[in-house]
Amino acid sequence: MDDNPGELRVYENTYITQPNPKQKFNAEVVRKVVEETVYTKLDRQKYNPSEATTIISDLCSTIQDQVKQFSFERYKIIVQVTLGEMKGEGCFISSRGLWDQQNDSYASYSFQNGSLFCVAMVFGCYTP
Amino acid sequence: KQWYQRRVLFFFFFFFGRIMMDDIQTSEEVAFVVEDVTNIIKESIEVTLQQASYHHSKVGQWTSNVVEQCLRRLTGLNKPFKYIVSCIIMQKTGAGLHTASSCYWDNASDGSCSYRWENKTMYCITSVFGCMI
Repeated sequence: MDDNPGELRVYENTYITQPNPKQKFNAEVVRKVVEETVYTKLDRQKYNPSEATTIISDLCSTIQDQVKQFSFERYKIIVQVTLGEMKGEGCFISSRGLWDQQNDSYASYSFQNGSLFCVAMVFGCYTP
Repeated sequence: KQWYQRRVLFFFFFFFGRIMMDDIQTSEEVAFVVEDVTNIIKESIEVTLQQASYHHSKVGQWTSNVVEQCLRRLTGLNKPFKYIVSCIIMQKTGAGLHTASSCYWDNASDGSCSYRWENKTMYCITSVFGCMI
């Protein structure tokens, strides 16, 4: 295809408002992937404040890459990971979404060991 | 005939002008404005938590309230966005807490914003993600 760099491409509407049923955001599959990733990375780790930042950003990018591999077409993916030290404190995480109930979904997984806890949430929003 | 022509012209410019105005308004208003959203989060947290002390039985209700208030005010902005709001309330015991997020979306239209609030007994971190439809 000849691409003229100065040319502006205008795409026509597809008029598609629903995702392909086979390519809908599959929360179960995503949850399994998140579980595996978090578990393998944090299983015998101890909380270390200096390393925690790198660990958590690595986790975020790894989870995002793996979810992208599922090729949920026209889905926007948001990954949020929280990592904290276990010191007997109380912690409550809550999230809510204003979205399309039929097409959008989320997957979350929480992990804890003796010295740290981790909560990972993945949200998928369909863009028609 | 002149009167008729003048009225036709008037209606034409009136409607054309209105359409132009709407276009200009939509291009300026339809964007994720981080400042507005930060203010919304700040107000929602302050209204819910005010001068409360950490209490295990009430935290659940507080987080739900913060999130619901945020969503209500965000819908009041009347923008074509899907929002995800997440709230973390943690007791102050000297423990460390880290939060990170990564998003696969369109940078030009979508955005996120995070706000941290604390008092003597607890921390509250609220994040809002907005995806344009």
